[in-house]
Amino acid sequence: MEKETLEHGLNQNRRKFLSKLSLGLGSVALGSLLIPDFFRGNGGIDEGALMAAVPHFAPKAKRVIYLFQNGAPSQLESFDYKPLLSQYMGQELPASIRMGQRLTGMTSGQDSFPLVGSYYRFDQYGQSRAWISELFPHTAKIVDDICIVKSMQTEAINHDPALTFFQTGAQVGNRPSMGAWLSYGLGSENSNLPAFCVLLSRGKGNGQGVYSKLWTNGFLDSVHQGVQFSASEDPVLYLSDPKGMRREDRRKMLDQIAALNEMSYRQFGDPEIQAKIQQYEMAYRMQTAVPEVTDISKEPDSIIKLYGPDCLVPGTYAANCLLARKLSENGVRFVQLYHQGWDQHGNLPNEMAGQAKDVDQASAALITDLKQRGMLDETLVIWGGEFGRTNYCQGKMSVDNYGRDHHPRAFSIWMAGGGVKSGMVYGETDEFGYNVTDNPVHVHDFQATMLHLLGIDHEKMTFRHLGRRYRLTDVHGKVVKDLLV
Amino acid sequence: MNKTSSLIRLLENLLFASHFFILVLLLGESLLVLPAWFQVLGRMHPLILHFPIVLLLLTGLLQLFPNLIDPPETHRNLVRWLLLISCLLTGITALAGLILSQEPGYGPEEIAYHKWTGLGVFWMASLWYVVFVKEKKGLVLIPALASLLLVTITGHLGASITHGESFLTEPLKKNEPIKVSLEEAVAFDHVIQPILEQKCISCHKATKKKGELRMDQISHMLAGGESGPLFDPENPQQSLMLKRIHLPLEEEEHMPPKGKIQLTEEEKNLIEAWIISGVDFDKKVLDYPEEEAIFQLASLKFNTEKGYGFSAADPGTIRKLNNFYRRVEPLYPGSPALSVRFFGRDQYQTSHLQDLSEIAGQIVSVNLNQIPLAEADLQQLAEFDQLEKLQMNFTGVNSKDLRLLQPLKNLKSLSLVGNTLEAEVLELLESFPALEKLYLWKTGFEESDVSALQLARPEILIDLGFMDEGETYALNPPSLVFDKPIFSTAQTVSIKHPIGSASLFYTLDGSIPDSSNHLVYEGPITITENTQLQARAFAPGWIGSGVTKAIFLKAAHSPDSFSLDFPPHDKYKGRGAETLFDQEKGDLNFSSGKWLGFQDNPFVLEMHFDEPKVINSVTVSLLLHEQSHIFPPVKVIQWIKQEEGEWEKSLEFNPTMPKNFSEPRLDQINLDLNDPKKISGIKLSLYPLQKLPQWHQSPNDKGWVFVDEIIIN
Repeated sequence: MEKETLEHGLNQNRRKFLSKLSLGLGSVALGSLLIPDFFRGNGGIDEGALMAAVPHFAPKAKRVIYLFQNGAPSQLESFDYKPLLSQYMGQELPASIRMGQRLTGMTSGQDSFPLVGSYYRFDQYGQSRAWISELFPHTAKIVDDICIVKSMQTEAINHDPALTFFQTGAQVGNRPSMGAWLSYGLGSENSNLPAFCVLLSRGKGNGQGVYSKLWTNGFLDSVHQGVQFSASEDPVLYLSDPKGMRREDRRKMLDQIAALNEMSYRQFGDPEIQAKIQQYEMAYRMQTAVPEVTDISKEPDSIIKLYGPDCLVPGTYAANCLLARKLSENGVRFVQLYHQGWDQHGNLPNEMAGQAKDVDQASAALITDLKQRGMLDETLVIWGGEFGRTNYCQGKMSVDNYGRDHHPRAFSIWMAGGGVKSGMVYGETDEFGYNVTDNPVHVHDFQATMLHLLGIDHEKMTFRHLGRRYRLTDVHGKVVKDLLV
Repeated sequence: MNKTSSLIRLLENLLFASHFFILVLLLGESLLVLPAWFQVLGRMHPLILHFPIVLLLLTGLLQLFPNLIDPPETHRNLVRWLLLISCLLTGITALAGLILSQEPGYGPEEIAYHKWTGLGVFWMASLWYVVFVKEKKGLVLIPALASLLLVTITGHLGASITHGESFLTEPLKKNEPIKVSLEEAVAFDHVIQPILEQKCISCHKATKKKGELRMDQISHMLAGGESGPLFDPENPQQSLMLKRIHLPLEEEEHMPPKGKIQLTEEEKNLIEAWIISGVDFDKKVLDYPEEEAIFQLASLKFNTEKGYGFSAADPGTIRKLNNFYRRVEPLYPGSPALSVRFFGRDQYQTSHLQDLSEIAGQIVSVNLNQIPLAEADLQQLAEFDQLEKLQMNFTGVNSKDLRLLQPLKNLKSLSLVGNTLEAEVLELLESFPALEKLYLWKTGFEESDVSALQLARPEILIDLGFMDEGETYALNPPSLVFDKPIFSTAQTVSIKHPIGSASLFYTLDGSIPDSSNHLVYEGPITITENTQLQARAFAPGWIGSGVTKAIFLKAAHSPDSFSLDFPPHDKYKGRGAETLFDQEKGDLNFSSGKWLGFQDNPFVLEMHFDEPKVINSVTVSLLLHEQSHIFPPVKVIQWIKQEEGEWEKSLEFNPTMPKNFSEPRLDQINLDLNDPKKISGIKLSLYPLQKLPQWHQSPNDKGWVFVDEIIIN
């Protein structure tokens, strides 16, 4: 920021120089032709790089809905069927499988690692014959519309770094979140709503916090920050006018504030002042757009049945799924949901059933709903957590009560729509469900693939900050072509 | 004057001599062997040529506008001098050119025109000089104009030899996308050849075979040039062509040579990938294996969409058409095809669609979801004859108006969700020749209605959406709305359910409400005693909901002063001791700030009443969650103080410990005073578990005690 304020002085001089130059040449446009960088106020935005990052074909996906299952749902009770674990129940995890994998502080004191099989039954569904556990009956019905990736891998082993890694491409904070990158790269489709919206919900299971750093704009302009919708009567906090204030008065006030802000921008040149003016203006338009979007009273009964009656209770996962569809329908580029409560270190069979019940019907409903509106083709939906869970038990083990610790080496997510192959199961893990044996998909690969689907080359979309270029995928990641239609 | 005229005479003689010299060179072209320094002169041709061009044009200007210089005498002298020098320099340039043309690398046909027009300039300019000196005023303009015309033509022809024929117009067509689709594309013809065309062929072609290499025909490319063949089939990586393009720019042999337009990184990569893949001139891009670089690089160059036959609209027009409620943008940067979206149903007017008539021929996708549409709007839509995707969900369009869309022959995808339609529409839909996807959820159609359409057009994917097939789901439990669960006199409770038509049944006696045992909720309930309220929702078409439960506790007294002997743990300190009497129940989240947590220190609370009171019981409200190390206290002790007396222990016991993990839950410890008496103080001690039981995941850790409320009756 300081740098930009300093540069503002230089810009002033450049501008003066330019006006002389353009007088001399008789045309301002010519001035910009000769020195194309001259009109560029913001040092970081590399439009050339941005243009180069957009390949010359129509992208498959226009929008993303990310159903983040925060806390890390167990792949072994959902999509990765490992009968061997039930067969070897209670036996020690072979060292040849563990291969020195580090442990979290929660199981490092444990002197034995007994394998534990799923308490829940698995069956095969759809034409793809994918295995899905009985905890997800609704997801089983849409299995031919989704692509299950069983070979996800991450680097972090604890929630916060893993979550931050998934969302920003780095385990440390302060980098822009995926949604912010998309807002930056593709802009907003509907200028009356933010390009990046965040919806939170919480299950009864053992939970982990989510923090606003997960939807940060990082070093990008703050207009790209995720806007959190709350479950209260005022979905976007402080958006509505106080009682007794007329809309015309609000307009007048904003005009005056904008004039003041313009003055201070001319003086200091902090680009954040411009961002602030823009945000006030968007908030003004959001005052009419948001109530229109968040109103679910006009949803037909069949939709309530489809998502489940919880979708009428603000703040539930089901309500957030329905809202996500409405936001996406209204051109919001990236809708990020978080459902908390998936951290089953103990009491897994019981807690996981509750969590699955929270999300199963509404997640499947979202796919069905997008599909029937002709929107699934252009909307990428992602379902998954930040890592997987161990194939051995944490804490005391019995057939119907056990826990699983964090496991970064192999876990499952699913994706649907937006140019992803449907009815496919990708990647394979070993019989113990511990290591990926086939087609690993690293978090960076997943990010590269997501950007590709949206028509962005992950290697070319960069932002200069503190003297170097940054990308969502850092210096890694390759597009997983096998997943693309 | 004499001096001047003698100099002029000398120059005139030189001019005459150069005529003779050029004739000799011209006639004896192939017979003469020229010394090396002549070649140096020859190579100066591209340098010297600029002088005669400028001077001739200047002289022409003065000749055509004699009034520019006064008096006429000066004008005449000036023109004569200029003209004479121009002629001489033209001669030297022509001479140099003739020598240069002897060098290898220039094709005879292309040179021929340049050579003869160039000589023409020399001869015509000399004639001009003669006519000028003879003062044939009327005639002088003829050779003058002829010279100017010739010099312009010659200059252009010469530039074409050096820079290539399309040099001037090249920037205009640089960004033309590849016209064929990926399916038809041949790697060489559509990807590699265009690069050669732009960057190589201007020097390596029939008319200018630099290095004896021609790249304008495949047979010549395979033949190679004076340094040998371009490609090495045995070891493609070592092919001459690759070596040359990868040499550093400073190297003599780097191609294209320094000063010419260079290959971009992408172009180098493409050429390299193509050579390594085996120098195939006929292979289609799609026939290369997917993992080969040439496939990956070349396929990126194509639109995966079909190429559009129309040209792009003016970017300024597009920008102008964008506003807060209408977004117009190309499908991707550089595509002529546009997509349009509308937002905000309140803002919409038909004119917003009519504004688009300027770009009617470029629009391929329109999204009007939720926008109210009428006849006039559909009339307008029918003019977008390139339209491929049209979304009109929940727009209120009717069957009659949809007929207006008949002219849209390119329509591939049509969404009509949420509009009530009649059967006649199905015939119309059948008539769209290109239709591939059709979305008809909530249009009133069922499987049987569309079967005829599906039979006639099996290729159309018809989506009728989610059909309520009578499957019944459970309702979600109702919610209870009240101020505080702990009250001193009375509490009002409302029961709410998001589905307005649901019936709400409840009980107040601890039994579970069902069809035979319930009270029907009709309005807010008033509670005056300790009560357990249970409620369920029922609605036709749904399975009855689960139970919502709440416990309401009456707290008749609260102490006038109270204090904790040891502070709660720093992480879970709520609002201190106040938290215990704020009548706010904690929820199942121990870190919500409504709970006080104790681990290292015991919970020791002293309460005092200014006026001694008759106390019947004290209730301590606890949270239990074994997973999170939260257990009941291992020991509970109660002391009381009578009106003037000392503390006396009235109760001590060890609560039962859980034997297993359970869900987080609320619990309470009731401490009844056996015979109620007037009391002025109560003291409670709760001791946390020092070691968690062996069955726990961390058997040696300390346990926690969490307390949120003390209720005194």
